[in-house]
Amino acid sequence: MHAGAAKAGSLTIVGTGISFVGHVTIEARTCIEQAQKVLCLVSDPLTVDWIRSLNGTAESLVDCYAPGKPRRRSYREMSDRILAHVRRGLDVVVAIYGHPGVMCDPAHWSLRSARRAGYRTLLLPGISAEACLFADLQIDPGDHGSQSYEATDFLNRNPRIDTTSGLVLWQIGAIYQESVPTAVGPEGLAHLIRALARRYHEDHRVIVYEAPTYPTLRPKIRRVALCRLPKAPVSTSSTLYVPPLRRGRGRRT
Amino acid sequence: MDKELAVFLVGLATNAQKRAAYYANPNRILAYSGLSSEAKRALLSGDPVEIARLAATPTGLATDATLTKVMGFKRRRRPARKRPKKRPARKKASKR
Repeated sequence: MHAGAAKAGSLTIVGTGISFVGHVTIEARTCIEQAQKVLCLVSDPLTVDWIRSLNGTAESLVDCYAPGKPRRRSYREMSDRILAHVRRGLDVVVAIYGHPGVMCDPAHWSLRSARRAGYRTLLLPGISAEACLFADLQIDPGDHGSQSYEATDFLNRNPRIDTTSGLVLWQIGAIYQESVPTAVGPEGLAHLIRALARRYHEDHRVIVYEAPTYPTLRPKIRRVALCRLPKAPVSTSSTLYVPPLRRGRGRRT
Repeated sequence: MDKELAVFLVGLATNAQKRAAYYANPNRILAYSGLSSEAKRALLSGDPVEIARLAATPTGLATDATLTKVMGFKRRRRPARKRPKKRPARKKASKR
């Protein structure tokens, strides 16, 4: 149900998941088909094509990114473009890869602005990289609990974590990168290893994970000791899963 | 843009049996797929960038007609907005 008062124009944000077409929910697909204007922020051009086959008004927001351009500026532009269509009184749907409410500033910024301006807003869930990780590694986060941080934020805030719970670190290939990442920053990864080594043993086995984006692909799962992480194949799409320590084995900080 | 590759991927994404058959024996499925050798190579390489390069339009801005044909989906027409019916002009009451 849309939150907010009725006013001509609305904003619905839907997730397209990680894997091409297969992760789009029926609800999200229907929203895309019935929208008066569709904008999309998805990771691969084939999904843009597919969304355009559902709704000819679709346009990509990817051109807001540019090499060297700070991501926050790109996000602000995306949010402004989204809002401009809503202000025209259109029912706007924004399709974003993964779960659009998770680690996605432009979605939350545009929703907040639209809501404050009195437009109806709705955020539909999608399949996130973390959801894929739990499925592909066959982990139940309910067994030991789970903590989840964006990797740069984890390093900047240095939060107190429970090492007897699982730890998910997003975007480990884009640590400290202000603009859209095109390659893995080795310095950021080295910082991350040092931060984790203060809490876990260096031989603690962690998992570098990458969800498959096409149905022909398999998930990339690489189990390595923490100290060997620099030699693991980390990409800009990689997520790190640090399994829980058995009680009493953690390093106290 | 390799239309057959795009259609093949949509087929796998939306059909669990096809997907299972592909996982069981990709070479066999690809042999009967009618895909170009370049497309087969891209799929077997497991490189998502190469797959996207071949299957997607270069700019992501193909015409609607092409996309409908390529993706195998008919775009549902959005129902036209209902406009209030025009009331028939009232006959002026004759003043008596």
